[in-house]
Amino acid sequence: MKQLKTLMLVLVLGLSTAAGAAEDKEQKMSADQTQQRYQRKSITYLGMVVAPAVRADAEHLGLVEQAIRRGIELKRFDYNHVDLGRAFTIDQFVATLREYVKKRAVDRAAAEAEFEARFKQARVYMKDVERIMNSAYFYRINVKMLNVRRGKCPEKKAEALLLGCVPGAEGMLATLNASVTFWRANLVDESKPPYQLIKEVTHIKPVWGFQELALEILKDPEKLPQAMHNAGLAATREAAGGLAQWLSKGMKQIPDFKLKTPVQAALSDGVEFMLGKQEGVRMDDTYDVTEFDAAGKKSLIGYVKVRKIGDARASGEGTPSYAEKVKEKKGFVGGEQLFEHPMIGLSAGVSFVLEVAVKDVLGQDGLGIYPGAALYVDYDLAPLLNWPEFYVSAEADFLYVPTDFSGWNVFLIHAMLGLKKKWYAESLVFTVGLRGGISYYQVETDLGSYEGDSLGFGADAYFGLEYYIMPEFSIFSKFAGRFFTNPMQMAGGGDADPEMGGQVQIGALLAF
Amino acid sequence: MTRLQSVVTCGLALFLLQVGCTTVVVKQGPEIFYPGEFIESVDAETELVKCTGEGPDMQSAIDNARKGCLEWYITNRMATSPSERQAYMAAQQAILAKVNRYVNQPPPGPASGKGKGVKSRVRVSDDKLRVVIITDVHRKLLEDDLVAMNVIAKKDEMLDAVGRPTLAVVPFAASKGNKYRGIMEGLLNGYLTKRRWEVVSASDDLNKMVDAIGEVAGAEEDEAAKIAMAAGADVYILFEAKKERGKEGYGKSVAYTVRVEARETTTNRLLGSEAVTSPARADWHAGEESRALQEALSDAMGKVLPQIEAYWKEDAPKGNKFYVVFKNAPKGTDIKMNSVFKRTCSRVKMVRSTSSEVVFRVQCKSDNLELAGAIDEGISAKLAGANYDFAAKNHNNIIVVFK
Repeated sequence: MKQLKTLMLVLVLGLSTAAGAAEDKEQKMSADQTQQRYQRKSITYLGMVVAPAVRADAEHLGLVEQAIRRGIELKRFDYNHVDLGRAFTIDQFVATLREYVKKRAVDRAAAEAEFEARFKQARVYMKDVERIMNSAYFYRINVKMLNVRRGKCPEKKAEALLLGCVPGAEGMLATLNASVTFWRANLVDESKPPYQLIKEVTHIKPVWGFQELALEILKDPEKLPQAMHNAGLAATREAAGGLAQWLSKGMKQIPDFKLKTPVQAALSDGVEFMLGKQEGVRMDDTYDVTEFDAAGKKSLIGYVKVRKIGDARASGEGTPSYAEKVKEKKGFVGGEQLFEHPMIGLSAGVSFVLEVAVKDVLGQDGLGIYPGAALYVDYDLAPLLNWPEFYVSAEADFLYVPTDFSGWNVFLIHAMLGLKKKWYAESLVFTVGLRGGISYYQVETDLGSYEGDSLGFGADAYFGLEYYIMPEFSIFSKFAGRFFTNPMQMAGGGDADPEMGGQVQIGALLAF
Repeated sequence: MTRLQSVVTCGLALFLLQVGCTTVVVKQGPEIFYPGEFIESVDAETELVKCTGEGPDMQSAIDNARKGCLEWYITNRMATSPSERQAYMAAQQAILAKVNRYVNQPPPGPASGKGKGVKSRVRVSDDKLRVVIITDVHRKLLEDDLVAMNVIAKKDEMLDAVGRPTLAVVPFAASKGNKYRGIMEGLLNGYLTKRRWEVVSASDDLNKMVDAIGEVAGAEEDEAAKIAMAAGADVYILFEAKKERGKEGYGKSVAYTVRVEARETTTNRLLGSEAVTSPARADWHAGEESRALQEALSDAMGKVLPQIEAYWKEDAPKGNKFYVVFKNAPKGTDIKMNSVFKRTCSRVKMVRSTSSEVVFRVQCKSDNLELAGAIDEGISAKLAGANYDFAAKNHNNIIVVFK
C-alpha cells in the first residue's frame, strides 16, 4: 500500500513537472476558469441617435439620455473622458481612445493587481496592460420611439396598476422605446477593424409613463399649457427611468459586464465574497452559485442574495460582502463561483383569493364569503434604503360578492398600497405586510357595467409564506386581516356593515 | 480428478469467493500530499509556493494543500540528505501540526487572478474537492524550528565545521562586455549576501594569479573558473542576461532572460543551472525594465541556490577541495606527490602531467596552510634539492613554482 502511494506520488510529481515545464511563471500564477473574477472595463458614451419618426424636443430627449446613461454608466466601469469634439471619424475616435487608455493602463492594471512585497508595488505585467487595452468599450443610445401626448390612464386594471394611475384619469402619457448598442474598441491591433459589435440591448416593447393632470387644472385654460408641459416631462422621466432599468439589466447580462467572483468563505447561512461598493453591489442583488467539475463542466447549485455590502477592493484587500442563501441544491462548501443574476427588483403576482367577512357587505344574512383574484406589483426598496427585502407593494383584488339579485354580478374591488418585509429561511420566505387603500363596487347587469362613485377606505395586515423556486418565480400563500368601510355607507347606506374579516390567498409571482 | 475432489474444490472456490466479496473495512490511511512547486522568492525569509490539496470542503482542501506545501518544501529544499529526511519523517506529525506557523492561508487574491490565492477549485466527487493555491512559506522561521528540532543542522554551525563555502559571481564570457553586467553583479551579490552566503569579489585584478593557474581542464568557461579560483571561491556562479523586447500596437514590452550556472570551482562540477524569462512588462512605465531584470534574476537564483546548498551539505563534510599546480616540476613529481597526497587527503586525482606542469585535484580535511605544509614536507622528502616557491596558498588553490 505504501509502495502504491509512493508510486502515485511519483507519477503525480512527474506529470506535474512535465506540465509545469511548458507553463511560464505568469501562467502558473494565474487562476483558472473555476476562480473567475470581474475585471473592470472602461466605457465611453458616443452619443444618441434619434429615429427620424421621433418628434420630441431636446428637453424630453435630454431626460431620456440622462436616465439611460445613469442606468448604463455604473460603478463597475471606469469612464473614459475622451474629447469627442476632435474625432470626426470612428478611426480617429479609436486612435484618441487608444492614447487615453494607454496613459492610464498601467495604473488601472495596478488597481487590480496584488502588492508585490519585494518591489513594494503592484505586480503588473504586460498581459495585464493588454487586458486593460482590450477592455475599452463604447456605447450609443438609439431612441426609436418617444411620444408624449395628452391621454387617459388605461382602463385595464392591470395596466393601470403597473402605471400607478387611476383607470380613466386624464393626464400626459409618454411612450418610449430605446436601445443601447455596445462595441468593444480594438486598441491593440491596428491591422484589424477598429471596433467589434458586442450587442444591442433592447426592451421587448415600449415603456409608458403617466402623469395625471388635476381636475382643476384641466378646467383652467391659462394654467393648462404649462401644466401639460411639466406633466409631459414628468411622464417622460418616469418612462425613461423604467426603460433605463430594463436596459441596465440587459447590459448586466452581457458576459463581459457581468459581475463574478469566487466564494471566499461558506458560512452556515450564506457566503462571503470579494465584491462590494467599488463594483456597485446593491442590497438584495442575486447571484447564481455554480461549481465546476474536473472536466470543466459548470453546474448551478443555488442562489444567494446580498445582505451586507463590504468595501472589498480589486487588489484583494478590504472586507468581504455577505449574501444569504436563498436556494441550496447542493451544500455550499466554499470556493464556488458566483455569477451576477441581474434583476430590476420588480415583481408581479397573481393569486386566488378567498375572503370571509364577519358580516356580509350587502347586508345579507350570515358571513360574507367572497372568492376572487388579486393582482399585485412589488418593488424592492432595499437598494435605496439599504434595508434588505423591504418592498413597496401595490395590489388590486377583485372579489365576487354573491347576491340574491337575479341578473346582477357584484364585485368588490380594492386598490391598496403598502409596505412588505420578507425574511428568508433558505427557500422558505416569511412575509409581513401592511397596506391601506380604497374599495368600490362594480356591478354588472344585463344592461351594462356600472362602477360606484362611492369609495370605502381601510387597511389590511397580512402574514405570508413564500417558496423561492428560482429568482424569477416563487409561489406563495397569504393570510390577512382586513377592515374597510363599506362604500355603500358613503352612498348613504348608513346601515351597511363594514367589510371586516380575514382573507387567504394562494398564488405565484414572477420577478424581473 | 475424482468427483469428491471436484466437489471439495468447488466448495473451496465458493468459500474463497464469498470471503473475497465480503466487505472489507479499510482503515483510513495517512493523509496524501501532492508535491508543490516553487514560484518565486519574496525576500530572504519568505518564498511563494504553489500546491494542490484535496478535501471534503474548501478549508480542508486548503489545509491539505498547505501541509503538502510544507512537506514538499522541507523534503526538497531543506532536509535534502537521507539522514535529514529520516529525522523529518520521525517528527513529521509534530511539524505538520504547526502548519499555520510556516505556511500562510491563501488570501482572497486580486481581480487580475495573478499571485497569491486560490487558483483552482474543482469538484472531484460528491465528497471531495481539489484546490490549487499559491501562498507564502516562511522559510527562515521553518529553518530555525527544524534546527531546534534537530531535523537539519544549523547552516552556520555546519558550515563552520567544514569550512564556509565562498561564492563568486562571474559573467559568462559572452556577457563580459554587457552593459548590464555591473547591475547584475550588484543584484546577485546583494541576493547572496541577504541570504548569508560569503561572497568574494572576482575582479579582474587577479590577472597574474589567473595566468599562474593555467588551464582548468574541463571548464567550458575557463576564464571564469580561473578567476573564481584566483579569488578563492568554492563555488562560482556564471550569469548572463538577455533583454527581450516586444512591440504591441500601443507600446513596447520588456522582459529579461537570465541564465545562471553554479559550478564547483576546483572540479568544475555543475551544481545547478537555470534559465528564467521574466514575464513581459510595460517598457514605457518607469522602473519596469529594472523590475523585469530583478525578477528573472531572483527567480533563477531561487531555484539554483537550494541545489548549491544540497550539494554543499553532502560534499563539504568530506573535506575541502583544492586545485594544486606544480609549475616546471622536475621528473617524477607526479608520482612522488601523488603518494604524498594519498597519505594526507581522502581523494586524489591527477588532472594532467606535462613537461611544464603537474596538476592535482584533492579533497582533504586540512585547510590550505596545512596542505601547503604537507606539500612542503613532501617535496623536501621526495624531491631533495629542488628549488621551489609557493606562488599561491589560496583558499582552494595552491601553486608551487619550481625554479
